[in-house]
Amino acid sequence: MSRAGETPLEAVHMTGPQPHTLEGSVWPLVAAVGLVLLAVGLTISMVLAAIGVLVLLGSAWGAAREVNPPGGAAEAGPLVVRSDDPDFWRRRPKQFWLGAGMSISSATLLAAVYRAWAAHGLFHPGEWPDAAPTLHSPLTLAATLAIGASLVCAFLGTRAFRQGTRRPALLWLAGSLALGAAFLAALMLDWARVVATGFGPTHGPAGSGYVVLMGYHALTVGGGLMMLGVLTWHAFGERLGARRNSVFTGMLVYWTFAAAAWLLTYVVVHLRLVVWGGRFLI
Amino acid sequence: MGKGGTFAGRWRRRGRTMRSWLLSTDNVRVGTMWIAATLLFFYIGGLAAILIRSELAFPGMTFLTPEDYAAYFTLHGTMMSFFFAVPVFFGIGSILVPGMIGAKNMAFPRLNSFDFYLILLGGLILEVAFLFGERPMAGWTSYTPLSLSEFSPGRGQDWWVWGIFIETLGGTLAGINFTVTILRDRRPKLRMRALPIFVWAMLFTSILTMVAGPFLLAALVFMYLDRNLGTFLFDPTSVHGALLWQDLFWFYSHPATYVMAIPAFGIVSMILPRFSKSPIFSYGVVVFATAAITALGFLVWWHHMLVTGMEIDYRLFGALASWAIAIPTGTLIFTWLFGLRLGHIHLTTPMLFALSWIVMFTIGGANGLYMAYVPFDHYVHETYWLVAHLHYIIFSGTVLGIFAAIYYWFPSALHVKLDEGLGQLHFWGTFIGMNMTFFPMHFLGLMGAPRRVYDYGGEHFGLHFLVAGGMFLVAAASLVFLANVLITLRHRRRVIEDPWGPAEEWNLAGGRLEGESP
Repeated sequence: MSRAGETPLEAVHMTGPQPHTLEGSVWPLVAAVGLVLLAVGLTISMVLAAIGVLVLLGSAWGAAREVNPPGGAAEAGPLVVRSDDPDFWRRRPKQFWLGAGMSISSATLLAAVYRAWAAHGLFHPGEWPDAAPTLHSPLTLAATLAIGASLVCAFLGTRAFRQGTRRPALLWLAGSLALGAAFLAALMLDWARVVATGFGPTHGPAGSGYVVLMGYHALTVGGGLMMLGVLTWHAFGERLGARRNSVFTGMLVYWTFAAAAWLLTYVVVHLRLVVWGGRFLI
Repeated sequence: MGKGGTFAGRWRRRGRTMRSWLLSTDNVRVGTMWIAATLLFFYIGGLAAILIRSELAFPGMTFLTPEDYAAYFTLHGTMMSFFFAVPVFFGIGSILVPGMIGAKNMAFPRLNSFDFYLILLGGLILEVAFLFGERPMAGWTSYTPLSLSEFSPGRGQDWWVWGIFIETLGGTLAGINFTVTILRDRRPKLRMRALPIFVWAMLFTSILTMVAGPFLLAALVFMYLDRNLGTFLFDPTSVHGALLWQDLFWFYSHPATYVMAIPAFGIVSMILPRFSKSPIFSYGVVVFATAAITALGFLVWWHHMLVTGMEIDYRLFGALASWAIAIPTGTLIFTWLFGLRLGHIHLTTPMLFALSWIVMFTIGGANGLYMAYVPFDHYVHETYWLVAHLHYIIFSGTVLGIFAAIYYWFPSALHVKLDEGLGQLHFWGTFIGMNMTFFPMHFLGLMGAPRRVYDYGGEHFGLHFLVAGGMFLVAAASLVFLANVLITLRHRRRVIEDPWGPAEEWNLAGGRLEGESP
């Protein structure tokens, strides 16, 4: 079994076609430093935190460029995997699995936020302070519609890339990006309205819980927008295209999660359509 | 020779400069740096333990102030739990898992490197904060309201928050990376039912961190907001708000104890057959039992809160779930022992660590069963019984397991073998020392000695002195290990053939190729 100079581990396992192995990359170290600067800045100086954010964004940019070299749009890459393929799940692009993994982790993070809500009784009628404003507003409805539309645009853009229609794909992606930004803007404006009524983060557990929940969604969508923005820019720059589009699959998985998470929050918190003890609470 | 070449060969081809190491995305190099970093944190946490036990060696000794004592037990628990025990197996996995499944690297090599740097830099944040006198003192569990700004003023606790946040983020992302690698990057004919047991163990570990990690991330952000922005997420005037931190913390940290132990299940499952020349009793039982432990691990976090006064239903559920998890654990132990019964046991250093792992982990599990009994827990909670339990589980679960893995796979990875004599010395020093340190703690706990106290009356002197002696023995043994590694790497007596003797390793613990006979 073992060849000369080869250990049993390698003899058995290091066979068969192997993917290309990288020689090295500076971006993981840069990204980690950026995150540390952000954390240190949040403790001692917001200027340092801002620098950390810029370094993080820069590292995401650099890593995306490294992963997608120029001319990538023309390079061969995995296309659609047929659903009747016995290895369907294993042959899904790995970016699909990355998107799925990030969605699972984000879902449990949302569960933790909801756990905080439950701990303070905010799912119960009568636990909200009298001064709590009406959370449902035209802005939250607009935000919900915006993120739904953004998801549809992202799906159509990904499909257009796979079909090889580049210009419509780019337009759909740009539209998705714009609608995602509109979602964030609507959320921020609505939160400003809520805070202006005196229901801010320091207004007891209910106010604290609300800002955390909205902040979670803003971060989820903001992170997704950052990813979508980088990918869209690279698509415009012909680093991504019809034959190199697997990364959009992962993005689509995560964006679907972000939209679904917001929809859940909209129904449960803003519309307060919760079945609790057999009653709908509106 | 495989297309990837030998591990040592890949090192030579990729250069030896510091730059080539720091920027490397090669799984073997990243894994090596990962293990080195976590061992560094292990030694730092050990240094803190030496200071703690020295302070407690004699009643009335006061070379540490009470604030120093609180800072050092916080540093010890934090370093050992978050920066050694949780991440170290990802380092081992980074080296071994791709090779075991026929992949050349992790699914996301840059992400792998990013995760390593998060763990390294997260730990360094805490160390630097300590050096500048901004020390967290609320313990590695940092319960509220002690850890909030009223009772932990200053920035020490904030550094703790961000250090742990960065480390946990690294662990969560590593969980995603390992899960994708194992599920997707297996060579074509390697089915899941033929995976090496260590790979199964890493898969379950990765799922645990991927799912549970965000709970701690959320809790840490909540703590930062409460400390700095005046929010009320852990409002102590609300009953459930006061317990919320514990709820979120333990929902992550109890699965984290399985993150610290499950990879060792895989390591033990691969070492025992090798040095007993007897196949594992049942591959399927080991895998399913580990899966059951993983699933049940998400249900038992309430047993850390049995004395908080929560409703009896929750306490009963916590107790029952904790007892239930003993069933698959016991199944595993008997499976390993049955596998040994017809073999010829060869007591090499890795085998000694693996066998002692089984014994020590069983003791830890047994004293944990007692604690799951609510009335007993009311008596021993926050006493030295708890300290004994968690150290038998974590010290044996992680430390013995990681040393077994290092001694076993060191020749495979680097073509040099650690000195067997020094290895045996390391083992016996560790084994005797850890039992001298932690077994007397059971008696201290039954005598009512509380944990985390700065001083005590003379009635517990003998046991505390014994504990301190054991601690120094463990410390000395750890230095023997360090010396062994340095001497071995310095002299590098190259091993061509497998130093553990010929063996079809993959046939003894899974990993068969499709259609091949055992």
